[in-house]
Amino acid sequence: MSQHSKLSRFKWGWIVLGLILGIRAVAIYDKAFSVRLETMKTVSAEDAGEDSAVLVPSAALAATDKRAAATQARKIEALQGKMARLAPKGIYALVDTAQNRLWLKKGDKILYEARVSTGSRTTLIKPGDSPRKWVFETPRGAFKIQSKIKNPLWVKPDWAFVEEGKALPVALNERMEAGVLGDYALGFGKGYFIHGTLYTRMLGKNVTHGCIRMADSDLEFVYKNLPVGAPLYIF
Amino acid sequence: MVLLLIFIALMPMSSPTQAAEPRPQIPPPSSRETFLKQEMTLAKDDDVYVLVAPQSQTLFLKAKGLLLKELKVSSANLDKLKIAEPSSHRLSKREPDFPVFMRSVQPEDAADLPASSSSQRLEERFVTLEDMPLHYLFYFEDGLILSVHAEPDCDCGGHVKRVQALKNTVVDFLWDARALIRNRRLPDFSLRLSEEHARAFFWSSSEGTWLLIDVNQ
Repeated sequence: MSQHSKLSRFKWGWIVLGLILGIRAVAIYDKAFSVRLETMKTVSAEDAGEDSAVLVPSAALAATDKRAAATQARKIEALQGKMARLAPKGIYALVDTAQNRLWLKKGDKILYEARVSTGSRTTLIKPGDSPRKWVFETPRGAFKIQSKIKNPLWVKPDWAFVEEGKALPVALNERMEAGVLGDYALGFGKGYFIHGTLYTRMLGKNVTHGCIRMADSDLEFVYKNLPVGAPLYIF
Repeated sequence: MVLLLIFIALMPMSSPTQAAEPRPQIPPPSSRETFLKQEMTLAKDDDVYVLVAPQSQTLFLKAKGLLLKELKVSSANLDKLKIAEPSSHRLSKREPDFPVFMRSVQPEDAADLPASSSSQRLEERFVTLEDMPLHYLFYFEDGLILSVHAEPDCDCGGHVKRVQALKNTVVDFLWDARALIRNRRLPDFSLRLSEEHARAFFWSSSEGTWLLIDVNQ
């Protein structure tokens, strides 16, 4: 009886071992098969020129891949070339409104660096029957130097009077003020200028109404070296 | 026998499948092209745009394809950002972690003027770095929310640095909790920058600024 049960246990042991080995063999085969499948990539209808996906051997696929990669590389190169052509050719200016710095550059080379003051981002509100609002912000983006003026006069805008609590003048000459903007001014559109300042202690801070203020000596260098039409990037 | 069976069952698979191990993730060539095409569209405009390259932990401020400033990202969390291809998003609103401090300034001679003509000046007190908050939320038109954490500069070491790191973790957690309460969901992705760079990012971006995320770079 005991010999019979021993034999039976031995038999069951082999059966279980056989099952485990069988399962592992199936698993190994399955994995190997999936690897073989991976070498046969599915090529999309676009690449194959057919209206349905087809399976092609890996050698043929390699050639297709090479051609596709070369086309991609050409397209990428063309786009990079287009992007490079957007870069300024001559001298240009960069203004960092967070650091309040201005750089004159040519290519990657820095020609000059100066401290500036840029927009405060404050808001002025004129209450009343016809309320108005101004946000004193230096505009960001790509601009061009549009004008260069020696001994500029400041034509005081409406906000300057509102800020001082004064009534708006009717005559233009009441808006004119000399000596406030320094010796030079470079306009970059929409009434914004790079100009001098009486408040040199404030250079390096965000305190202006949107214009870019510079110290006299820095302004002179910028005025003499930055031509009309030169790109100006403000960020 | 039983031990032998267990060993066989648990034995790691060794087969000719070594080649089937996950291959290094190389971005498909088309994604680079997609990215450049998207950047080219943004570069045609005059506005400043931002490129985020989370894998190389860099953020670029650009205009007309020209690199204006490179900001270093200390860490980026994009777990919730489910994008596989480069994507661009237009900024609709940005918020510092506390409401902008608005100060009403009456002109000196305003008292003598009738009430209707007196002006009111509201100031955002962001004149120096110290005024700047440490956290920002950026909301995009497509619903994406970006959280930016500024890492306080610390010339310290050892225990002080560890305490500082712990403090930052707690502050970040509270910030995320506030963002969750405010928006009823956590930000989709977050970036940690130095104090100076976080400020620069906040200051240089505005409503309408495009953010181009290149997940493969």
